[in-house]
Amino acid sequence: MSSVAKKWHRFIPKLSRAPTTAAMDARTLYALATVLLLVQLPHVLHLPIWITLTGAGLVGLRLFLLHEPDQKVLRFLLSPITVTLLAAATALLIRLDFGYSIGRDPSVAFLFVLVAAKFAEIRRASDATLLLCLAAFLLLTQYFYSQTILSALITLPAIIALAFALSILRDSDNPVKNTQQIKLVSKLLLHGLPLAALLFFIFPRLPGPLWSLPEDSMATTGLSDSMSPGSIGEISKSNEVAFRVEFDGPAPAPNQLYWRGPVLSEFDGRNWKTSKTMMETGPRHQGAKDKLHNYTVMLQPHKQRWLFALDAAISLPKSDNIQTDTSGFQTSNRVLGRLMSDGQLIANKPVSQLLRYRQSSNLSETLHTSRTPPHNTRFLPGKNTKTIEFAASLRQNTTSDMDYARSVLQHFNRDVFRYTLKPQLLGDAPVDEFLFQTKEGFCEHYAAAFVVMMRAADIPARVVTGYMGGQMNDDYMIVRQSDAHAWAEAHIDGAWRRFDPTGFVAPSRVEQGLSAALPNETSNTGFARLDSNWLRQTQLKWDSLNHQWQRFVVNFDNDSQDKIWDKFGFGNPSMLQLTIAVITMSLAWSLLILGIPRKALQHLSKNEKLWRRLCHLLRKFGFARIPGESASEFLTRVIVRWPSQRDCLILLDSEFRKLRFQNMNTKEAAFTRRIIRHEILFLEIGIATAWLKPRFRFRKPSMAQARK
Amino acid sequence: MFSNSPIKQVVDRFRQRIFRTRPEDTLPHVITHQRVYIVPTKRGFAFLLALLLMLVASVNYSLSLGYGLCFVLTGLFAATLLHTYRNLAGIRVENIKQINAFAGADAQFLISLSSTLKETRHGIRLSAKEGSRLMLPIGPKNKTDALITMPTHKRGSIQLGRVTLQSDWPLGLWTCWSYIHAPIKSLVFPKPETDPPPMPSSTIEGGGSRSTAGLDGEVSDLRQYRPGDSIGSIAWKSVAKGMGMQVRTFDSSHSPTNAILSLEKTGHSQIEKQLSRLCAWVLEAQSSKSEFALHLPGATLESNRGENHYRSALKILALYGIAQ
Repeated sequence: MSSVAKKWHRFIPKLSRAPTTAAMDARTLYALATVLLLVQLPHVLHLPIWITLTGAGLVGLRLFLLHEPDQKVLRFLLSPITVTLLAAATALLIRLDFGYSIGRDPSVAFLFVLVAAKFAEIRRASDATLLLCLAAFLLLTQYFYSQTILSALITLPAIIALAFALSILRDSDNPVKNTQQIKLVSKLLLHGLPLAALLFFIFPRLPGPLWSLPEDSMATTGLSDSMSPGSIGEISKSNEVAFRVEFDGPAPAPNQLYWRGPVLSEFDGRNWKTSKTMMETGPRHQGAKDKLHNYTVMLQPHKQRWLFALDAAISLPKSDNIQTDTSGFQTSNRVLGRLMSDGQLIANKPVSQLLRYRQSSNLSETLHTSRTPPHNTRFLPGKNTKTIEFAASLRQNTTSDMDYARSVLQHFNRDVFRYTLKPQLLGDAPVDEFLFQTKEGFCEHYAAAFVVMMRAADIPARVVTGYMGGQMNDDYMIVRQSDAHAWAEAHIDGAWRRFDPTGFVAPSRVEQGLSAALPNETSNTGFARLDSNWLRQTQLKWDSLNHQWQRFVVNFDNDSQDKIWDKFGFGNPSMLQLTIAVITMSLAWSLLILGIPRKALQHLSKNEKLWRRLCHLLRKFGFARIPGESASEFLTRVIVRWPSQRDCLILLDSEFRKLRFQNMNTKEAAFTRRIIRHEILFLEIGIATAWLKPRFRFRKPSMAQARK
Repeated sequence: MFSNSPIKQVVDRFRQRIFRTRPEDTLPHVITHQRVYIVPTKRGFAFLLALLLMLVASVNYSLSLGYGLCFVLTGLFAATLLHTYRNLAGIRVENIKQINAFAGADAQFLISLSSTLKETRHGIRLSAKEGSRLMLPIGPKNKTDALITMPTHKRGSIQLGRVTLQSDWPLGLWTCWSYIHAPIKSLVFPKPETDPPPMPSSTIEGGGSRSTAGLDGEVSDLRQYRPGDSIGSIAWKSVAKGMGMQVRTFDSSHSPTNAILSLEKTGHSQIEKQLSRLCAWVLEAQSSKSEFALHLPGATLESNRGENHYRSALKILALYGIAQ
């Protein structure tokens, strides 16, 4: 043992445990394996299958070895060197599979394998400690991917298993049954919950990351910064929630619900892209009051920077501290993004976690701007020559730009265009093929064709993507990926005007949503569109529960904390106040668990209390009262052994005797008690300060004397 | 060594208060909260480190559930602290009984503990000095005895010394302990010589003809040791053979012989060997229920017999020449 350790154990007794004969006994191994499997389970959803199999396989092999300890091959396979090599090989494979190694996802994958590898070669108790710590961390990493109610629930058995493994690891020979042990650790967890809740509410939430790793490529469904024929249709097949909205007032009519997302101005003949340069503008004027809507959006993380708002947004997205001034305009404190000249909202940073923001919009189809339309909204490359010819002829027959736009829309209505999620594939000149051959498509086909027609007539135009519609559930609206939509904007008469060609082809899409427009094609897209009323209701209830969960648990941040303080009537508490609050509440919690200390003295008489105080004092000096010894005998014995305090002790003796045997009225008794109290205090002070004055008469009697 | 400088005194008081260096505790002794120490174990520190890393990860990625998990485990850690403390605090050390031994055998201390707690106390370990520890699996509401054994090497007396009561129940994340240092010591008698020569018989014998009686003591039977049996009646040979503690029972028909035992009569010159032989003779005399007198320089025991006489003889032998 090193000298440091030796020194250490002079102060802290060495943990003396019975030496374990086997390196790891079966009970411990099974407890650890349970933890591992429970921790690994939620990761199966997002990890590549080969990593899952490696991890689970290693655990299985180790358990197999436990029962067949003579398997030479297996012993070799699970020896520390082989396992280390295996872990290194896995690291390499992960690098190849993910394409990068320093990042969140590959790290989680590696940790997953590492935990299993550690288990495979576990030898000593310290290995098990490390294993449990790694497992606890792995348990946390599942929240990178999902923070739903289910992922919280699935954590619970893992936590119990973790605590159980700790208790088994402490002493695996403990004869206590497993069920008893689980009961015990559940009790411990329950006892810890109040403190956990307190910390959860009070612990300050730091905004923003401390460091950032390379962005992880997450396959999230949702709009992207580019659009090609068929891309929106792809998104529409997903039933995932894009965002939820709570309106302060009544929700707008369904055909007014244009949720503006990325604006695509760049065109290369086939694909549409967002502009590389964007101009920022300030908040707009609010228009007519009846068109003003204030609402809160809870945006699901989509790893992109754009936010969604009803057309047209007039405020900056702000944090969720509702402070509405008299005119009904939002003036909350933290600004979360910027408003661009093309009407887009751009967040300060990519939305990588649930984002809740307040927004105001003035419902209108026109977007007034003083800026001249940028050049790229007129640019028309590509081979769509037939379209350009058709546009030229159509323009000649109309008197104004506005008139022209209307006639283009009517063309979609007049001709036999079909609205479908499964259009034929398009080639190099997609707009030509769409307009004159296939004549079937989803909203992006119509929007793209309309913009090309506009640009062909030298009218600035662009595609706007976003969501259209939404489903009310209780007091909030759900907007799903299946509500993804694309429409067009053209700059006519000094303002950007919205044109939705889809509305002319399939009016029900705009009025009632996608499922009404395409009942046959969308019936296979998931539960939401199922006809069964009961299932539909259940699903909506579940979504409502999720909404509350996200609002109050997942999205719990500084603002929520402030709200709680406000509710309890404390304005922003200072750090000191917080600390005091935490300490008091922790103390209350400790007392609750330990049991209120028995106030043994409280129900004693005043005389008895004084007597006990004296006994306690004397016991400190080694004068213990022998059972059966009367108070007087005891004090006499003390006086003999401690002559320096003779006077004081004799006085105490006589006063106590008076208290006990004389019939005194309350006043006299109180006086006697005061004398006693005074004398005891004198003794106490003398003892407490005895070390200051070695020659003081309070010399401690020698131990031998005291005990005779 | 004993300097009376105030600093030394303060240091000394501090050491006594914290580490219980002097045997000043009186029994029965209740482990009060002032006397309980508690720190995280190595595993506890590792757990804390893991919690810290988890917290940092939660902060970095703003994982609300991550905070939650972290705090639930923190709550567990804190609750374990309280339960570890509660498991130890309030134990009452009723008394400590010493069981004397012959040099080379184990001295034993029987520590009886009781608890007023409703719940069972688990995994409490008692330890004293090196190598002499014992695990107490359960300390329920009633009394529990723990036996601490201490190897002895030479005669004299052996101090129990400071006893540590320790526990890391329930999860092994915290270790909690308390010291109790009571002035308890056990006598260590000289190691009785094996196969000693016959005991010198007295010249003033009572006229009996059975002078050889009690040479080896006619052992009539062996039975298991029960607490309270005289140490002298233990069949040490069978103990040495590993047959456990057995007690010899004797025919009481043997008549006693009178013997005066002294250092000179042993025929040895070395004091320890003399005492060793005397001890063997005393055992022999006791087992044959014969009278004997013990004459040592400075300590004389008149001729007598019986348990008390025998005990005082052994005590004299144990402490002969050892400064108290």
